[in-house]
Amino acid sequence: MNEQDLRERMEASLGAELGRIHVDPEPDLARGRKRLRRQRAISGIAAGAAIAVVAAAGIHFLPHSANEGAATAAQEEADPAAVRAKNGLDLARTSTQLTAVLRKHVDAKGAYTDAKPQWEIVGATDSGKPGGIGELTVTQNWTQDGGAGLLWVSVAHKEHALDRTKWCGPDYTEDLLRFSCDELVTPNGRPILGGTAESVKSSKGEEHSLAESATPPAKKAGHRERALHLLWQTAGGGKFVRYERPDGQVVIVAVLRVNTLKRVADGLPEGVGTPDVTQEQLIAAATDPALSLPN
Amino acid sequence: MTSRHQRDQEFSDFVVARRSRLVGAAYLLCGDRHAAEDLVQTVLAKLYAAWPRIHTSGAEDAYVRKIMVRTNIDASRRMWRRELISDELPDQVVPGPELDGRDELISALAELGPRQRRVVVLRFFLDLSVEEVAADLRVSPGTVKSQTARALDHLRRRLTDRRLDELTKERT
Repeated sequence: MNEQDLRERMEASLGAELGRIHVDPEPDLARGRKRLRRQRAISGIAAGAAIAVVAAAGIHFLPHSANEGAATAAQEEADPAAVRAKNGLDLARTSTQLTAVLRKHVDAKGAYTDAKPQWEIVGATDSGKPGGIGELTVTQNWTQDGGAGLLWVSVAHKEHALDRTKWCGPDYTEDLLRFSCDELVTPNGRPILGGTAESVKSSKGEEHSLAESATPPAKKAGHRERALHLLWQTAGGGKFVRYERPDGQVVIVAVLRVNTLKRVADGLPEGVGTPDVTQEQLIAAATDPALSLPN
Repeated sequence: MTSRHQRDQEFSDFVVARRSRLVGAAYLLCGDRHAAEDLVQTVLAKLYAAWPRIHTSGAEDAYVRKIMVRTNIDASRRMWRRELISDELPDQVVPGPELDGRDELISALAELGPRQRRVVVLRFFLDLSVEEVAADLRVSPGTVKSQTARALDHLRRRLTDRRLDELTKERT
């Protein structure tokens, strides 16, 4: 099957699956008008958008934004393509730079990440100055023993970063992955926050420990139960550090869990370990002067 | 014609001309007709709200495409974050019973991870270049190329395997 075959088969398959689609624009018009009214109504709260953008950037263990609507609106406003077109930001070059610095510290031999710069931007805002990036969050895939994980780096100027107190505040426990939040010190004696995943919530809200002492599943446990247990026991969940640089920029570096469910689904041997990254390596990356946004 | 009437008329013309194609692309992205319809409704509502700006610059198709992909990504990202404990994780290849009876290619596409599926739909259904796909998905061109290669490899393998299975069944 070549690429042209694929194109033709897609067309034919859609015809067979969907049949002829009746098009009436009226319902779409009605929904569009409703959205426009709502958008105009919330435009008055745009002043709070900058903070919401950081929450909406999707850092998996950040507290959720209190205002879902504002976050969504802010996320649309923060479309990097639009930002780039408007202010000439070079998000691609900065993303490549950030991931290269990160790889140098946590995977210098390229054992777990691809040598080519394969990143994905998951959050970006402009700084308000021409060509200036306010916040940039980039992920890169992490592959270990057949499991999948994510490397995460987020750099923000102080006014675009989530406040330090919110990292370990009461809302901190609302997300699925719960991390410890420890006051650490860099080799240069500067304060830095760090943590490891401690527990994870199921979709039913039940909290499960990620400690290795979790009770093994019964022999008769089903596929799903065994998979969940593997997640608790061996995925590790990941670890992070949050560092405020002397110039005010805030750096968050994290490695997130290795996906053991995939191993089970794929019938691979059990026992994937925690991502092979130490907290010292994360600290070294976070404190590297090269891991910063251009001023 | 008032400004609102003009907007409504132009928007309606766009919907009539493009909706079927959008539903097709959304169906390939989501693998589910209801989810595809939801996605298209969301995208068109956003387009209506932004119509004057988008229409003036003649960027309706690019805008719709971008919003569709972003909305689809947001949906899968929320799933990853909020429904972490699930048997249906991104990028795992687990053919489910719901695939039975479906078109062979649609089933094979549904088995791809969301990233690879997006790349395939943008590259081969919407005919975008590697660079355009990279810009839409906010990934590097290298990622697009590698995801495309993996996706095509999977599709070729699955379709061949299925055909072999069918032939084997027919002969036994």
